[in-house]
Amino acid sequence: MGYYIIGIGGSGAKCTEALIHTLAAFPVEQPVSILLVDPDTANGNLARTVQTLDAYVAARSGVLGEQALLKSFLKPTDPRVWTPFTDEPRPVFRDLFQYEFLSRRHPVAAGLMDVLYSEQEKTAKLDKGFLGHPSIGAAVLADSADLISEHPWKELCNTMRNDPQAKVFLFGSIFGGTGASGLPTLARLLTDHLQDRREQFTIGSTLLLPYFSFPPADDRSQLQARSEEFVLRSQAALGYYQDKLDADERSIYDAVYVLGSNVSSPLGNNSLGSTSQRNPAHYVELYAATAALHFFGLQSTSQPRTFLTARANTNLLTWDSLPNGFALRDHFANLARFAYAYLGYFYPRLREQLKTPGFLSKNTSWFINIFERGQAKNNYGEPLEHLADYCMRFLTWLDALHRTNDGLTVGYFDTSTYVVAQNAVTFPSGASTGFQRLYPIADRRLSRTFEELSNAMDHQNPRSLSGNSDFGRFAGSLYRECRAI
Amino acid sequence: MGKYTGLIVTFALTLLALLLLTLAWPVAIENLDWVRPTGRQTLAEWIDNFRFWGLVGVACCSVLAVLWQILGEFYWKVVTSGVQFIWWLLAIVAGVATVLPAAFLLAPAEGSWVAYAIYVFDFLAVFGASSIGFSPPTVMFVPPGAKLLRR
Repeated sequence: MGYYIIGIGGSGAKCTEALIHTLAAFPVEQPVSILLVDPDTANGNLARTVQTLDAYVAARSGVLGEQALLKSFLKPTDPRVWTPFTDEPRPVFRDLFQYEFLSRRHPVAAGLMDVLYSEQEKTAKLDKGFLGHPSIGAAVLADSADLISEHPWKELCNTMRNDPQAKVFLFGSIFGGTGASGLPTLARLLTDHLQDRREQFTIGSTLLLPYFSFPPADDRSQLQARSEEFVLRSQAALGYYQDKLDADERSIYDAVYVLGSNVSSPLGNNSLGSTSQRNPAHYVELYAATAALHFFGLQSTSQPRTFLTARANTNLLTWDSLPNGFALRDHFANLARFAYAYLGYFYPRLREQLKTPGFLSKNTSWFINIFERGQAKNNYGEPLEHLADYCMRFLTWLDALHRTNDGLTVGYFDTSTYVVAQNAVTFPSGASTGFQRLYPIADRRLSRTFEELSNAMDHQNPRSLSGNSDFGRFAGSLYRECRAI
Repeated sequence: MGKYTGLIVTFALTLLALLLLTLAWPVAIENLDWVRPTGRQTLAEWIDNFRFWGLVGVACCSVLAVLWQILGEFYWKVVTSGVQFIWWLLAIVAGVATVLPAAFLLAPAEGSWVAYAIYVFDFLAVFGASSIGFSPPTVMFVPPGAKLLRR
């Protein structure tokens, strides 16, 4: 049994990013294969997700142990991102379908293209995605996705074919370009390709409704995504999915999660794509991640069921607003406290110890027990940096999740206890008290300072620590002391 | 190691040192003819003198060892160079309190090295053994030699 995630487009990538962090906190037993799909490979959201995935994989290899820390096994595909324009550096829609050739030899087919697509759509450059036009994306994706012989589809499909209980989950929006075109198209291609094994796998998807908006671009004549069209597009897309669900034959999807927000978060900038399209994390993406977790846990879809979730009608978003929120809260609290303590206290000291041996007092018990008396002595530089990279990304994501500008207050954690600036996490002078405030619950164990945490690690029996390396034992030990549950 | 193991061991070692000082060593000195007081002092008087200064030394070592255990278990959360300095300070005070009487205050006698040896033993047993072998986890490696002894 395995889980397979396909993140389509910018929103799909962001939901995948949320899922990576959720799985980092909330371990699942099955391996999770992750594939990202985007024609705009330079997209900032996509790049951030790929970096997060790589950071997770690298950090996990250094800390694997008995603790629940980074326990989920995430398997990125090779390559991480599939693009329909592998061989086309400057793709144009009409060239992809050989419009000139069709005009000369098959004028009827060319005429059909003229009916379906405007001149602007036919001549648009697609290197930054499908520009909010799913009609372009659906045609391009259906034409270019080769599930039989192209990497990474070939490997992914082969794995699924040999998996008796595969669970495939797609992330994407239905209001943009890439997600709206990829969700139905790629799911259909997959189910068709694995038609003979249809009983072996279940397939689910999020249908993300509009949850953000952005101002129109200066040049209105340019082909681009327009947020004022999102609602209308979503309405049309929902009608399509409703028809499919009402159809007698088995639907493409075994489960569909419709998610959205009644208030759109204004992004403040308009980016047509590429590296500048780097939007902050949003709580709806966390909901999408919990939808995937819910789908993984579904026993059987033979009996159609409808699950509903909603938040209380207040301006405060808390854990009880999330499905299975309290279990998630505890796991997220564990990881958040760990990341905070690691970056705020232990990482800088261990790094300085590598530069200046003796910096961390030569008599610090946990350091001697774990590293000096460990197998690899002081050879922990690489996993130290990998874990710091992942923790930094996690805290950055968590901070962005809390920075809403749609009138809602996200009250999961007190992220004012640290500062994210220029891809770095810094801690105000009272980092130790910040650590106590990060997850504000009245529990004496949670009100420890960094020094008390270090003291608690001194008290751990070194023989009881587990891990695949000295650094793994250290991380497991710290995680155990940071745990909120 | 339990939270109070170091304190319990310190008290146990103190008790052992006191028992030896009040019962075993005087009997051994008296019967084995280790010490012969010079001048007009009798052996019994010398032993009383030896016992008194020994008790003072053991008491000092014990108080300082208990202080070390309490600071290590309940006060210090991380080890700094100041902690190491404190250990040396306590060790010097304990050592001086134990050995100084033997050098300057104990009545002169032939074979008085036995008294010196016993006082040094008291220092090592009460302060040394308890801090080197049974310091709380946070400061367990601060006393010299603890890294070799403790696994």
